[in-house]
Parts: sequence; C-alpha cells; structure tokens
Amino acid sequence: MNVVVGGVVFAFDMTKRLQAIGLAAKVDAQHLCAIPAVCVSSSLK
Amino acid sequence: MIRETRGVFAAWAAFALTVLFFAAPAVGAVRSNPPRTSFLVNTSKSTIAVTLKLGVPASAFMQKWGLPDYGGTLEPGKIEMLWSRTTRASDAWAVVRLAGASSTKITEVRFGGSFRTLQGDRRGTGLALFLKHWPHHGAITPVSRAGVQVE
Repeated sequence: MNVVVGGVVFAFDMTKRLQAIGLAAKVDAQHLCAIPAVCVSSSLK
Repeated sequence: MIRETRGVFAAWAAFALTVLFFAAPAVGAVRSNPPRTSFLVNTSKSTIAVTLKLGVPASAFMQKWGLPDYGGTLEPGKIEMLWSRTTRASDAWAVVRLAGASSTKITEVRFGGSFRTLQGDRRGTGLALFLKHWPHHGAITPVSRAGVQVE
C-alpha cells in the first residue's frame, strides 16, 4: 500500500514494511506502483 | 575550481551517455548494486538527496546512482531507465521514467535502495510506526498489478 506524504510516495509491501519511495505527478502518486522489484514485470534479455 | 570543472564535465558526460543510450535502445543489460549511501528524502520539497526530483535531467540521477543497466521501453508506452542487481527486472532497485524518447526530463521515480526520512523512517520501517511519524499523511492506498495486490 502507498502512503503519500507531501510529494513523496512511500510504498509498503504486503507485510506492511516500508520498501521503496517514489515521485510522481500528484494525480498518479496515490496509485504509483513504486517497489521496483514487483512493479517492473518486463524481462531483460 | 577543479572540483567545479570536474562536476560540469561529469554532467556533460552523463548527458552525452544518455543521448547515446537512447539512440541505441535496449543496450545489453548489465547489473549494479544500489549505492551504500542512505539518501535523505525530503517530503516537503519532494526530493531525494536534495537534487533528485521530478523535472530534472536524467544525468542528475546518473550522478547519484551510476549509469543505468537498461534503457528503453520496459513497460508499454513508457521510456524508462532501470538499475538492477541482476539482469532480471525483478531484481531492480530503481526505475525512472523519461518524458519521451527525445527528452531526458524525469517524470516518475521509483527507488528501492537505501533511504531515510527526517523522522528516521527507512526501508523496513513498519506501517504503524510510520503513520505515527506522519500524522498528516494521505490515504493508505492498496496498489494492484494485473488484478493482484502487490503493495
């Protein structure tokens, strides 16, 4: 889940531990998938 | 003076690399570790390590985090740079989105390296404690990908 404080997104994993931060336009911040390891699904080859 | 000159040179070198990077997208993926530095997050200024914020050139991020391990289209419709511990995106520790293929302006940032807030929050801080530190926080919003809650 995300908690937005000021202009920063704080992203918590499913165990409710803070894992990542994000910056995004105000309209997108609340729903920004901010934890890189779980939010970027593309595979690099 | 020397330090200043070197700083300007580094900025230009990073910019040039950015241009080359996107002139030839999908550069062979390499890997990197996040910096050991714990970056200070300023919530009122929306900054990371003072200088990293939306709207700055990608070179600012390269100066702090090093060269990205991948650049190009990772997700549909997005031009992004990715830093990852391995050649798999699932081991990514940072992703930034650029305004477009012809722009180095950053429009979105995700960072899972080491950071801290002025209230002492860092990776691993529990949600309940965090909320005590920030009584005027926004809503707590679940985030889903493909119908599955991931955050």
